[in-house]
Amino acid sequence: MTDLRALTPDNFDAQSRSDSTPMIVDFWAPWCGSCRLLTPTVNKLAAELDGRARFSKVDVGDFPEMAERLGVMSIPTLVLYRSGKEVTRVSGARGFQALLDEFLPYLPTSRPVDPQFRSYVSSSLATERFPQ
Amino acid sequence: MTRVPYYPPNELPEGLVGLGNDPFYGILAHRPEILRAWNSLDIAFFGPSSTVPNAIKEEARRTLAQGVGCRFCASLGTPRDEHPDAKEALAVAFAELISTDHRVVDDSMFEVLREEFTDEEIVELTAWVCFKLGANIFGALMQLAPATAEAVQGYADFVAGAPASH
Repeated sequence: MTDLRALTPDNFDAQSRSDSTPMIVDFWAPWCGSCRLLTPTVNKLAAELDGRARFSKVDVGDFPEMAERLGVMSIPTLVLYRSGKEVTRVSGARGFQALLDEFLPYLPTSRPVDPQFRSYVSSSLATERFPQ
Repeated sequence: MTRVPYYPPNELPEGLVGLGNDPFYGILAHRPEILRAWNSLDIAFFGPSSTVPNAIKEEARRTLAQGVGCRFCASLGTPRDEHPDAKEALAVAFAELISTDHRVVDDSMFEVLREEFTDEEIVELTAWVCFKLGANIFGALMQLAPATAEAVQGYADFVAGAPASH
């Protein structure tokens, strides 16, 4: 799980609202066998959806009140948030394709353009069309 | 009532008579040679050459038994809510996945299993889960009734290593 950003009650709300890119949170615990089996699949999913979704994790053993507040009654549970609001969730271990099929309909169809790249292109076009 | 009646235990060949009183074996007894082989496999999994602790195998069996529909199998024991032992937790999760949809088990999950189990143990655990999944399906199809207290105790004794019919 080292690839995913760990969320806490202090940063969860800010993180889930901070970006227009949807956020998928893996609610897990180190003692949970199903969570361990699912970990490589979640990491693979994070790589596959890089740029289309941000991935984070919450250790429900460390923050049980947080899990309860968010309605997470069992683990592993993956929850997709957009602009701070829950969109969909999947509980229990699933295969890579099943998870992809579950989340893809709720994700942007293409990766958002990097703001720096957008700025570079804009300035380049401006220079080309209107040389100074 | 079972879909196929129990075979009369006293009509079984010598050496199998004791097994015929067990509800599960009592159905298999219609085919004595299958009953004999099935019982031998049950014993082999819990025998001295076993590599995966019996307690772990039994907890995995209890877990998968909850969802297959064999009332007899499920009544032999309820899985615990928590599994603090990492090896047991993985075995239980693995059994649950296999019984739910074995097609979701991929290479990465076997790599996770290897963090806790040797290849020898993985083979034993996988074979055990598959064997018991088949047994549970058989029990569900035959509509076995929940086990009596005596049958539950007999099975518990068998798991614990005491001589028993099952």
